Amino acid sequence: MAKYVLIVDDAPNIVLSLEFLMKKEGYDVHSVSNGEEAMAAIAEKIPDLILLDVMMPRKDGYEVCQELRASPDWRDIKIIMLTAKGRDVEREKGLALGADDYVTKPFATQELVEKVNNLLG
Amino acid sequence: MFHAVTEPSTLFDQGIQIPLIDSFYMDQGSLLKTLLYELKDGVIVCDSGARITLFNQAAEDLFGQYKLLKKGLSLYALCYQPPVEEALRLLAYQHSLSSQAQMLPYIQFINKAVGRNQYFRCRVSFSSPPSAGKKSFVLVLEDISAWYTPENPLLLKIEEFRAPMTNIRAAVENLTEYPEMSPVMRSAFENVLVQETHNLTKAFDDLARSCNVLMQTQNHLMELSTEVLFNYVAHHLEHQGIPVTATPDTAICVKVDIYGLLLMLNFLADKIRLEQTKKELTCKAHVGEQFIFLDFIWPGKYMATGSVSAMLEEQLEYSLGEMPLGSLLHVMDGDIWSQQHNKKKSMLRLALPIVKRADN
Repeated sequence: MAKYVLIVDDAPNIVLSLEFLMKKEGYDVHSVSNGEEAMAAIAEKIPDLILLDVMMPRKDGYEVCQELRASPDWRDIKIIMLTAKGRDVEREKGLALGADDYVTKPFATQELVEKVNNLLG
Repeated sequence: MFHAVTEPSTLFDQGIQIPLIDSFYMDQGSLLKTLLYELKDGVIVCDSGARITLFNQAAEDLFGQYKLLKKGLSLYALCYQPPVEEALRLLAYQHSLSSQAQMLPYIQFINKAVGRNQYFRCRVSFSSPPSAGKKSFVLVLEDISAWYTPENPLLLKIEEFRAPMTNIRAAVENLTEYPEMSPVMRSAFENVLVQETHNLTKAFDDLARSCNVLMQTQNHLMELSTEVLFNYVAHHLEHQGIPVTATPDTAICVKVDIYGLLLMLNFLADKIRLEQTKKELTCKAHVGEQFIFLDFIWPGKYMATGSVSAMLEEQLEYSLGEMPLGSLLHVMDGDIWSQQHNKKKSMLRLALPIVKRADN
């Protein structure tokens, strides 16, 4: 059965690229545009991996990550934060709050695909 | 002030009681010492053999916490010899040619710290009389690393961005304007987009790094060793009933605005006590790989991200310009977040970056 990737990002152009890439790799894909929709989608079906933007309206990526890690049902979901917040201290914060990886925008798409494939093994 | 020092007799004759005159006149050494200390630029005085005889605090700060400056040390242990000697030769040469009225008071040149990626704008002038043989001299230094480093892309940013932007734009316009073009041409333009986007990303990353370097070389923040900082913070917080455990590393330094930092700590402590309604609040100060951490720890659940974000927006009372907490943190390139500390306790962590040395 195909692994399921949830894309959480409020920028349609990047969602278009991410959906294209993930489908090309054979993953099932669903996209939402904010943190609240993300939590609702996760409650409906637990993804194997989340590509998670940070700066979003209605619950940001840090909050989503922290809530997931606090839940016994969701703490094992792989999370890659995708964000324009590029300072070292922001990366430190993202990883401290539970992200498995932290990718700063703009990014090389093939490197992102490789990270996803490695995490989903 | 100088008037008082240089013309005391005149003032005495006038019967003007200026109690400070005596102390200034007798304490001129202290006055000069204070002026030297307060100068923004580094000042190093050398004898005719280029051995250091005097230096000020700014010169010491330029070389960070290494405490490299010592009386008797050769200047050339700190910065390169040829540029200094060339500047001295030029200074002596133009002294020999010019009349007193036309003499340049100093020669300005660029120099580099020995073994470090640090560049200085230097001004050298003689401190011996012109008639003396080999002369002692005064060197004034200003750190210009952010502007001068040859690899520093800040100076080249405009050109570096124009090239990939131009190429991307041309490729995109061709692709959209000529959808009927041959597959070979399409593939070629698409390759241009891939390559130039890579170049643009690299240019952007370089710009971000340069901005960081620029911020770090601005001396508006004080560089403190963690030993001093942690002990000072501990002293401050313990007065407020917050026990502190500290594990400093004497080799590690942080750039801080100490007043701003203490305001932040007071604010965070008050907020935690209000939100958590717990009296048992402790603090742990420790050093990580890239950051130092000041962790406020309490029993119970961590603070919601929303609460932390709201705190970042709040203006700090008594801060300069009534800055919000987030802005003050940004000045120090720091951040805060709340997370689980262990099974029973949570924490609010304040992270500040460790000073990076170019030769580390």
